[in-house]
Amino acid sequence: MISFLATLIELISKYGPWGIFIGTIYYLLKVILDEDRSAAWRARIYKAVYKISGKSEAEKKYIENDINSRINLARRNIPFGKEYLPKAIKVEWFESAEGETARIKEDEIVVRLDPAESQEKNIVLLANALVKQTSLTGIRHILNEPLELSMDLNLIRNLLKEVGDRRVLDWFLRNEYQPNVDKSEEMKEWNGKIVEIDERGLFTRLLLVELDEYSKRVMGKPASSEMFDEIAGLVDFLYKISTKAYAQDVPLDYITQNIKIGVILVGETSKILSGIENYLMAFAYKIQQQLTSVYVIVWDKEFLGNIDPETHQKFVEMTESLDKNIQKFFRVPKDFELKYTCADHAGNKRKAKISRYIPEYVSQ
Amino acid sequence: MEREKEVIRSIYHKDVVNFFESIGLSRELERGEIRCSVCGEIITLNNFRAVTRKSENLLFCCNKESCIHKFVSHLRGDKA
Repeated sequence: MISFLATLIELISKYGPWGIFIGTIYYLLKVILDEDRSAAWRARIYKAVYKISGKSEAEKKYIENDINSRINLARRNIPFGKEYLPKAIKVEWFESAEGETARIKEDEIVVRLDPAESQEKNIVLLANALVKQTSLTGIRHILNEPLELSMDLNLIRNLLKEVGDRRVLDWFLRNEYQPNVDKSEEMKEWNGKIVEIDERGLFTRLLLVELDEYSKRVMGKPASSEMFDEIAGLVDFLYKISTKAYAQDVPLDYITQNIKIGVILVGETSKILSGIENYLMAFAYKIQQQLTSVYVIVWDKEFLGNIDPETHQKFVEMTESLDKNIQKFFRVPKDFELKYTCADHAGNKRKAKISRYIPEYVSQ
Repeated sequence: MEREKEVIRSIYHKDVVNFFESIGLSRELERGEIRCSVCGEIITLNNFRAVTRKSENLLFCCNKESCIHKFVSHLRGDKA
């Protein structure tokens, strides 16, 4: 909405009263061409009709369109590598032809939804079902309950946060998130780790991406304690990076039978400003170890841009140069690059960027 | 970006009676013969929350938060 208003103001300042006309057409086209945005408008209309008429058909249309639009728009803000997580949702009402026995397919879940007045419960229920059906696919049988539940709860929380309705999020946190976290000490421990990883932006952008890769590598193999240890070790590895204090050394490679990843952290301004050679050497070392993914994580100091714009600009230029040189010298294609903001372990706001490189030998 | 969608069929709160009729289990519901597959509580029109099919058997779930969570978690058959 804010970006639309900014565009509208720009159009008005450029074209005068015609700007309003052009802006309106632009907005309408954007809504019509985007099925989730148009569902949001349909939901508003049906909600008004339902409030006035009390008709069941209007209530059903409101519930259906409201859930589809809110969850699908929210998930667009949860990047999962090059895609989004979880999958998009489509609510369909269960109907059967008269006189015929309705069929429920194997593994299909059919849920009963509450009245429109309890829509927050409906959204939480379907967010839950969606996350559990479309994420951590292929590894759920390996995970223990506390770790699986911690990942699910935080993914649902992220999704509901993006829905942007405090009532929905509060309902979830009060009735599901907190009671589940408080269930056991083990649950608290795993959840604490996932929360820290998530706060540095590495949960959906790195951990879940690697777990998806992992599921492809172990597909068809029976679960074993070694597999669980590999995944638990990956969580611990990322937790240590996420809670790393200034100048503290933490492992930056994680190598097991099925997971071989490396991380290069760019966080100290003075270090990168003196040159990118050390980072390139670190990258070369990781390639030598035959790692399957190398991540470059840049944690930019938010305040640096305000107090020293020149140094900040140089910092940005050096990180861009690092990216170009990695692709040029090592000929590793960049799988994705995602920019975001997060808070560091000390609570300072940081601009961040994560890039994933996949060496050519991986696909050979 | 992909646009593959997960279709989730839902039952309208006023259609629960029709739903049980459509799957041929309205008598069993009336007699209290359907139980929550998680906690064992008798399923009624008021506490019914979800249903799925596993190995040809229909499994029901009541509306307790703890039950729906476990019920949904075990859906994909990932867990033993």
